[in-house]
Amino acid sequence: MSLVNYATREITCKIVYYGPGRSGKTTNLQYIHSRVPWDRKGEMVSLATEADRTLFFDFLPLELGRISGFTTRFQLYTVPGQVYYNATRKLVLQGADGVVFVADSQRSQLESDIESFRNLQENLLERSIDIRDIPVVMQYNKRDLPNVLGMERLEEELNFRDVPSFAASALLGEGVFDTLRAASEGVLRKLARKLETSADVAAGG
Amino acid sequence: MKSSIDPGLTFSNFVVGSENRLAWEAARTAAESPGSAYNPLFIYSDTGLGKTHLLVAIANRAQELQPDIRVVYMPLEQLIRDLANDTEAESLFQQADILLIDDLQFVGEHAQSQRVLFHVLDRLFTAGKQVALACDRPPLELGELDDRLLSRFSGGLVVDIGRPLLDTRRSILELRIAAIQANLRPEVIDEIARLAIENVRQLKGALNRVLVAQKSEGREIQADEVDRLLADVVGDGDLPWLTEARSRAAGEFEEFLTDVSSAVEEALGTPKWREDVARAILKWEAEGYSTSRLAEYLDQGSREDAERVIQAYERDISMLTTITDELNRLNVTLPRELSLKDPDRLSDLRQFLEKARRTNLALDEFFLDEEKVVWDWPAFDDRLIESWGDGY
Repeated sequence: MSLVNYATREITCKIVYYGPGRSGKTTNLQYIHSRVPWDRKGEMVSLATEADRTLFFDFLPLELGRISGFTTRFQLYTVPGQVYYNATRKLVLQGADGVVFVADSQRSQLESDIESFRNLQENLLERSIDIRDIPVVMQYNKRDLPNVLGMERLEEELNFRDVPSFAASALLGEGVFDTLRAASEGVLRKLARKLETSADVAAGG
Repeated sequence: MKSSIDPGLTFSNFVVGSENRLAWEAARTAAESPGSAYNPLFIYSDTGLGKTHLLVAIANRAQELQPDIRVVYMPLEQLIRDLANDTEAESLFQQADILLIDDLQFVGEHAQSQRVLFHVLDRLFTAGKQVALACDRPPLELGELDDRLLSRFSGGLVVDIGRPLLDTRRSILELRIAAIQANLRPEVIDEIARLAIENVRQLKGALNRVLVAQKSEGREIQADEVDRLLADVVGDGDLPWLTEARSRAAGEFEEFLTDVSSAVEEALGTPKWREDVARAILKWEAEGYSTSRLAEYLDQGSREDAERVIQAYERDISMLTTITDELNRLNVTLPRELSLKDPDRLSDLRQFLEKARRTNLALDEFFLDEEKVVWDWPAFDDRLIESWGDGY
């Protein structure tokens, strides 16, 4: 995906919400969807199973309007967290400009968090992307629940790359926009570095 | 003189959050140990955040613990009126064990009564009685106030109640729903709480509207209906506070948008090499030269080659100048399809110059200047013959 298209004066950022099943990825997008004015958001598309879990992915397009003369769009995706949907996860990861890893803070979910983060690294590597080369933000979700692990422990277990991290309670909206903001800024900072060294251009689209 | 105390306003049904915990604890202490700490207790906040609730809760808790305790709760306006009209009022107030004065913000409008009020309070403080005051602003902002009163108001604990945060709003709604034994889906409660209605009375009003809609439609309201429901019921400009609350909620996105806009601007900010190329374009365009080569590079180039590209362009411009001079000297008219201002046609111009040179060479080398003054007459014939001879 070309992030900046000088020919059409467009910027498109694809941010993928990754994480284990039921960690709150869809809830993040639902909260963002609920806060965005009508004229700025597209229809949120969710493909869910009968049990209401994400089967394929959620997709939320955000129109941020014209910034510096560029029509700016964010495309937010979630991946299905369940282990057996890895093919879908790989597909959704394709062309991602940034990743939000949504971890479930509950003590009982630590193993799933670690497994999912490992899976993220593997899937990126398969596309020849080192996780250090793509902006990643950690979100420790469900902080409002009892039996959650301390932030320090979660950082130790999951955030050994020391990427920006946020405590969140996506259901209540806490930390949701902080996370998205950090991910967006990470993506745009990387874009700035790219533009500084070479023109990241899609002349024809 | 009669004060009304609502028995329904207690400490247990006051929703405590980080924004009001200090006021709640101080009020509770004042009720349970009157006169021993925080005297006077001065609570201030915007309207509808629970000042009156806390004052009345002091009265209820104190009477619960000590049924014989004399508690007077009164808005300032009524207290001033009683002091003015009832000769016994002053002594009655002075006999109170706990005096609770609400809506203190109007004290500045009663300069005449401030002296009497000061004496009442002074007597109570001297006797170790508890005074608690509620106001919509801190003491220093009370306007025309007797210095002694100001000193009195500020001499205990001045504490504010902040606007309810999301968790507190949610708890207020849940408590209210439980109190009236209503049912509402949890995600609907979340949605109302997210509206950022920061006045508790108005928050309850919004809840009532949703509950009424649920009852009248005979089905459960869903979360995504809340926004529309409140908008439909309220109508344009009917309840400006709700519009404000909605805009505050939307503000979260607007803040995000502002930050992202800055980040985009920063990302697209002109790197130095682009500035250099752009500057070169402006400079040479002003001289009338075609800069399409540089313009194309500005769009699709990279930092690594920028300096080299600009230098190459300027070398070509310099070459154009030389060619122009020489063509002028040769007094040659340029064909219409060629331009001396287009460095991208440099090779065509070179070819043209070569041709012009050849055409002019045969004669020009024998002349001193453009007036065809002959260099050296005696040798002219020989040279002419020699030159012709070279051609055969």
